[in-house]
Amino acid sequence: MAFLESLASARAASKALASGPGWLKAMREKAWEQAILSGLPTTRHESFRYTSLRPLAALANAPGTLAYLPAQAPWELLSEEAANKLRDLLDPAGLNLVFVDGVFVHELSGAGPDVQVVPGARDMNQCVHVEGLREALQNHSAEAVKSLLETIAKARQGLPVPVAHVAKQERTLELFEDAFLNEGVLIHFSDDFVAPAPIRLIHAHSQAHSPASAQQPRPTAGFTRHLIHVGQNTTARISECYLDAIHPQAITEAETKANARNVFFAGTTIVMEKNSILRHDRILSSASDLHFGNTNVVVAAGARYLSLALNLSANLGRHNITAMIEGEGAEVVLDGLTTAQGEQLLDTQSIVDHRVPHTTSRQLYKSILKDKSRSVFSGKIFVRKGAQKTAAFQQTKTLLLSNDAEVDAKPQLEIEADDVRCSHGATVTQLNHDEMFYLRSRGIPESTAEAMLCQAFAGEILRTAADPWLEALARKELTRFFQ
Amino acid sequence: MLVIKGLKAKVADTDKEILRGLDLTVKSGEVHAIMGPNGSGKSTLSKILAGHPDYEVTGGSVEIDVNFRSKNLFDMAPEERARNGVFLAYQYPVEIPGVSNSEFLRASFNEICKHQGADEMDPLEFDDFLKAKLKFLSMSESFISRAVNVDFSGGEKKRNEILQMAILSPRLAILDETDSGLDVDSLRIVSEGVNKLRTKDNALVLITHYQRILNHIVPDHVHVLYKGRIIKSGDKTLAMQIEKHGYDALIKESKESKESRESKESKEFMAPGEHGN
Ligand SMILES: Nc1ncnc2c1ncn2[C@@H]1O[C@H](COP(=O)(O)OP(=O)(O)OP(=O)(O)O)[C@@H](O)[C@H]1O
Ligand SMILES: [Mg+2]
Repeated sequence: MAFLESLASARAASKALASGPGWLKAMREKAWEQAILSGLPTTRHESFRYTSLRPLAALANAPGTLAYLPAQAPWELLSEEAANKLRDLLDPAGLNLVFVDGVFVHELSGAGPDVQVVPGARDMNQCVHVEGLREALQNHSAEAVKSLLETIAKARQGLPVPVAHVAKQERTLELFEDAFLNEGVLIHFSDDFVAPAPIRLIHAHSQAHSPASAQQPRPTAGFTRHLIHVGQNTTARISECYLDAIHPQAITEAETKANARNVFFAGTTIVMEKNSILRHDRILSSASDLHFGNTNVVVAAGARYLSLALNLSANLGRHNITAMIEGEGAEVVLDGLTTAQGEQLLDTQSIVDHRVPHTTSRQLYKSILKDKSRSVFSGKIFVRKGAQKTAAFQQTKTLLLSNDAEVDAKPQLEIEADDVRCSHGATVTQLNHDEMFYLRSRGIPESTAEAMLCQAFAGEILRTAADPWLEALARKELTRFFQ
Repeated sequence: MLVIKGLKAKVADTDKEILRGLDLTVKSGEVHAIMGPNGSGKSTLSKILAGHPDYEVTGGSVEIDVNFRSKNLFDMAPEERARNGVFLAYQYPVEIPGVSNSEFLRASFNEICKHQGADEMDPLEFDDFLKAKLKFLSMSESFISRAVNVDFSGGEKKRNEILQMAILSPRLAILDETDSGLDVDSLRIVSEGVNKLRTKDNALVLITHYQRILNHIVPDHVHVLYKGRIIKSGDKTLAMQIEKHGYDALIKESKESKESRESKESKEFMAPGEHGN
């Protein structure tokens, strides 16, 4: 069976998707119909040229019908061991929101002690409104949800023709964030406030890594949508984590070869008001899964959006990040690190749209590739007519650790203003053999030397993490990568 | 401790010959100085001893004592050579952006400890150990948090090499022009440091262009390397002679002796009656 068909039956079986206010049901329906009409892209479509969706078809054809998550309260499915590991993972410094199979789990979520009382600052509880999306949709918060969705939809409609003109199939997967909108979280930071701690959105799978169980679990499709609103003059941090993750060993070769059992669609919608600052860290480390992330940000005047996207592991992972700069003096920084091994493919599609004068964007994406892995980067920068004094820079740097690994980096600049500073560049390197020799000639074994140089390469990106907890987690994951 | 016999080597994947039959024997407790004009193969020799992949050995042998047994150096990977006490202070130390000096030094030190069956040091312990060594070489503590050699001045890089030597206490240290680029005071401090590290069980090979460092670290033997061969060996007075008169006379003398040797050899090999044909 084709993926869309099996998803259709999974969707039809879901009660959750049939409930909610009328506008919501209409929105879901419209997005789904559009998706069905368009169909999935193939490698003939430009933005999927290197990214085959065959693993999605394989998922639909796997034994057992595709389950729409959550099938039942998923945290009950989480083994005690997995739940404990999740608890261990959580740092007290911060507000941790835990999602299992995309569903917000109150039982595992909570704030560290520092979040409640911050001397001299306004209390986190007073200034941040956090609510599970499902609940929000059933009470007066639904209006806030609606207005955020409208804002982002309108901003997306304003994207320039080259994007609007991509084949309709290329947008199909992005439609799922509306078609399956139900689980996730609504976060509202009020005005004039400096959040003392990051808010973490930590995703785990209930069936991740249960090799002991003899019976194959059903293939699953999960969806989440996070809506984040940052008020004027407010500074905040968000850490988004997609982990399967709770296993400390190195990823096995079998894992990187096995067919994926889960697909997860993660939509993140961010609306930033004037002069706000959001530092947004995102980590994907979910070896055996298919993951499609879709981040959209609207940035108002004077606001700064600083993103760090760590695509550390996935059977197939694709992250779309679209920053729409709508006010003068705004700044967007997109940093990224991809590590891939085995036959993994990790794909980043960034769009930065400079719509008004005097705005800045800077992107630095690095990849480290082992084995037969592949990384894809497509970076579009638009500078609109009249958006004078725009400064936009984009860099990709790839470190190839194997002759069979491959990178496809494609910058695309469309500049309609004349007084701008824009540049892009791409480099592909291998380990520097003089550096390797220097380390080895001091007694350091080849594998350690290699790991040290890779960590150094990655360090430039990791250092920009806004959340030390996430940085530490990423470093741990990287250690596994180099094992 | 080190016996080099007839060593020949070229740049890997090319026909460029650099060492053309080099002999050198270094015993425990000794200090050897190797001098020679630019491009004669001094650094190449040192890098070959350390195991640099840029060069290919095409002839001869190098034996080194490991645990009182003589071993073929070329059987050991670069890291094994280091763990068995071979140390090269580079003429041009490599910059490694993103790797902190302290992380690098600790990794290196711990590998050596592991090899010797000693306990590894945790970061705090190592910090104290490192600080003592820095003091020993009058180096500022700011060195250790910076990336390996990145943006170090020429002299600072050389000191960083000697810092590594002090940390690893090698049995055979080859210092490739460590004196070049050091100011007068630094040279004294570094030389004193090196002297303090000397024991009857280790040995030192100093590659240098100048007599200056040999006033501080007095060599037992001085060799002149020219076009990939040792053309003359002597005691410390040889270095003084070179400082005064340069290499020209030595090179000429060696050519003459080589020619006379070769002509003698060819005469010996020629059958009687072939003369003049
Ligand atoms: N990797 C290499 N590729 C090509 N040529 C090389 C390489 N390494 C050394 N050479 C050449 O071999 C010769 C010897 O070089 P080497 O660095 O050993 O000289 P040296 O005696 O140390 O000189 P100096 O006193 O200037 O340091 C030089 O002609 C140099 O250009
Ligand atoms: Mg040299």
